[in-house]
Amino acid sequence: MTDPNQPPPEPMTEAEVAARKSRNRIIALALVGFMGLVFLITLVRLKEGVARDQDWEAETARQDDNSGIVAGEGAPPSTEENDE
Amino acid sequence: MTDQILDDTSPNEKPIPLVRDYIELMKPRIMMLVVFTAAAGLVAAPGDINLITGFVALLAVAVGSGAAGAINMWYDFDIDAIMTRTATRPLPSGRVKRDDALALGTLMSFLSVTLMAIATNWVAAAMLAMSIVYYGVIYTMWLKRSTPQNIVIGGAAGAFPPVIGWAAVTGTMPIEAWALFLITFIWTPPHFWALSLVASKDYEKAGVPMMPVVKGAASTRLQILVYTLLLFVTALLPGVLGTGGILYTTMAVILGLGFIYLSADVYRSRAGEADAGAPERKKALRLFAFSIAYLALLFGALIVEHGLGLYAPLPFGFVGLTG
Repeated sequence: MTDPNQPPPEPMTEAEVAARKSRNRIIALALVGFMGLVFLITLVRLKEGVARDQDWEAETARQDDNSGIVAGEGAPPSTEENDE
Repeated sequence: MTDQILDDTSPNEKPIPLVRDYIELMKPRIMMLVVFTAAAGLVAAPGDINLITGFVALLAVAVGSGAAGAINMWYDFDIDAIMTRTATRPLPSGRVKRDDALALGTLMSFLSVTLMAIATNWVAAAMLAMSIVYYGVIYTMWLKRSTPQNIVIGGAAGAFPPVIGWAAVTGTMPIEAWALFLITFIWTPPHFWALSLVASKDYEKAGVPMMPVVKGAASTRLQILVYTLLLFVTALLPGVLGTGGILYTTMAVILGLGFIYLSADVYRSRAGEADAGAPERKKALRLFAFSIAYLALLFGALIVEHGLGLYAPLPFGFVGLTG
């Protein structure tokens, strides 16, 4: 709420306006920089996530292959063979 | 620079806050040392970190350090105005409003911890948040004005960065990271007391219970020497634990001997006494300047060893991290 009895604020001098503009420019730059950093970090994390997924898939596939070989080579004889 | 701004302002004019005043609020010289020690932790930690992630982690540490500096200046506004060394800072000189400093410090604290959390992990972010609170609240608002052990306990605030850097890479804080913490922790008292020997009258005037004010100059000089001897041993820990190699350990021994020599020189002098002359004052200031170079070179050796692949473990180290 503005007090009607309060005297109007003093007008800013040219130097004050220039200093405020300079500060605002820095704040704008900092905000854009922050957005850019968050964007870059997101890209990096996505890339790391994709690489991790690919590693995991490759590892799972390798384990499946290995278990297949083991099952084929060392599998116990079937009950039908035992029956014979 | 600061004097120039003051000279440009006539007594009738309001001082105009410039961007450099806000930068001064962040204590840029402390920030540089903090970033440097954090970089050492980051590079020395086992494992790889993406270049962008590493850069953002260091940026977050820098912003966090600046935030803590701004909060410190906001709270210490009254005593800074009394002390000659700090009277020209942006707040006591009236160039920046107190509320603005607090707003800047709070906003930057939030941004730095957020950046660290999204770029690395919650362990590093939590440690960064803790270091800001430790400096801005525990040291500034509590310890500084209440005990002569203020900078001994408060020194932990400046010692966290290597642990933060290490945690940013690994997500953990093993003993090797805490050995780096211990170096800065033990280094802080002789570093700061060397300066306070020269500025003890200022501290006395402001009612800050710095060691020379409470215990006297002779006791402070003795404690400087004791902490320097402790530092010599502490600085060898990374070599023993395998974090530092031959280059690091060689630097630790040479720099440590230099530190002991200068501390002994100050111990034998009358630095900090009421009748001390310019040469005595110069000895204390020389020790203060050397202590900054000491920390920079010690952690620099660690960065060079790990960053440039010059790491060669000591034959008698019992943990070989990267060897």
